[in-house]
Amino acid sequence: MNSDVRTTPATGKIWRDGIWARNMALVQLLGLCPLLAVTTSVVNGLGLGLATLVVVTASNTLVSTCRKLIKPATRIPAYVLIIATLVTCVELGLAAWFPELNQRLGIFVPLIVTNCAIVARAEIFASKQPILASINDGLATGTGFMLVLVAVGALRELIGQGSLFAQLGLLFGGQASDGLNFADGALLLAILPPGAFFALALLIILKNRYGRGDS
Amino acid sequence: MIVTESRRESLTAVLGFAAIALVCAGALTVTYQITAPAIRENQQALLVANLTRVLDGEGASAETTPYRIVSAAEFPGAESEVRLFRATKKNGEPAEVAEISVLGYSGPIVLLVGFVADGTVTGVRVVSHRETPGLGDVIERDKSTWIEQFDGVNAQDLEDADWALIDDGGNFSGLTGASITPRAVIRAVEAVARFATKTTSVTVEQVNE
Repeated sequence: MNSDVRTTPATGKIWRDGIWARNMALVQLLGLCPLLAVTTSVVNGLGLGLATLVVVTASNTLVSTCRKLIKPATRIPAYVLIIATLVTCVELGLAAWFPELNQRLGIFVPLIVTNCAIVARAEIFASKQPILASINDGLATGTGFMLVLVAVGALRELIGQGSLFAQLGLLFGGQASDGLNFADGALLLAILPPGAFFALALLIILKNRYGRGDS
Repeated sequence: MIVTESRRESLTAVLGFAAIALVCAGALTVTYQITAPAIRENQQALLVANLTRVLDGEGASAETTPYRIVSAAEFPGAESEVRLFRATKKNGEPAEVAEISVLGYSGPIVLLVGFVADGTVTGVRVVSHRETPGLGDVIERDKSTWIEQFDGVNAQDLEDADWALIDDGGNFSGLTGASITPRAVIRAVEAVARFATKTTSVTVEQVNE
């Protein structure tokens, strides 16, 4: 099997690729459906980012563990089954332990199932690499994705609502704070769906302009 | 030879997949068992919190199962049947809460409307909606106090034309950049308020007989 011939990339390269050089959202443009839909604020972005990070890491771990069991013919259904199971578990966990966050992100968490980036990591990496490297890859790509979610969320919240980090208490408990407030009601467009495209496009432009040579 | 080889291959593929499916099913069962009680508790707590919010806040109590479900026909504008909950205000006065769903700008808006025996509305809160962020979502109490203008409204004090936005010649203030959303909320409150006075007048008649 040629999959075992592949060499395992070094940990440093896994992290550089995951966060910057081959960032899921900015370079591979995967998983844009949940990214564009949810990122109206930092707390929403961070919430979905953390959920995705957990799912992609767990999915990579499981797929890598089972990679001897998964034959080419059944690999896609196997990935789908594993990812759907994990998303359901995360969803139940959110509903049980973070009910308020679940109310805000509730309809978006199932969207993680449709995040092709997670299947992509399973197919490209976890199905061919040992467990430890796959965990690293999940953490790295998940973190890279989360950072973009937070950045897009921050941009849209700042321009659209004139605030930053509002209602962060939803994630970490404690008092619901207003975050930093710079202005009351700003450019609404940023929060509406088109704002997501503008914000992401801006980040991709910046990445391409200043991030050359790394990949 | 080739046949048995490929047969063995597909057999291992199927067995491998079956093993993964079993593990997944097991994981789901365990997670469900662990989370189910907490989820049920959260849903109850959320319902209680929402119900008391349309009365006079903490200290008020409400039953979490509806005592009556009324068909949408009795509530003009209602999208689906209306659930009625028995409740008690802080001062012990009996009250009721109606859960009503009306069509907003981009989907149903689910509201809780509290009222007392004489038909006076004690409070209104939005439970769920999909209105435009920044425009229609101002109906949420977390985002503005707009929804509080319905506190103390009584259908007996209002003419038909009063149940409208000030811009439309009515009594209620609107929202910047949204007109369908506030109209839908007014329609819902109107339907419940009228129902409230109607049902109380019925009970009053029964008492007089």
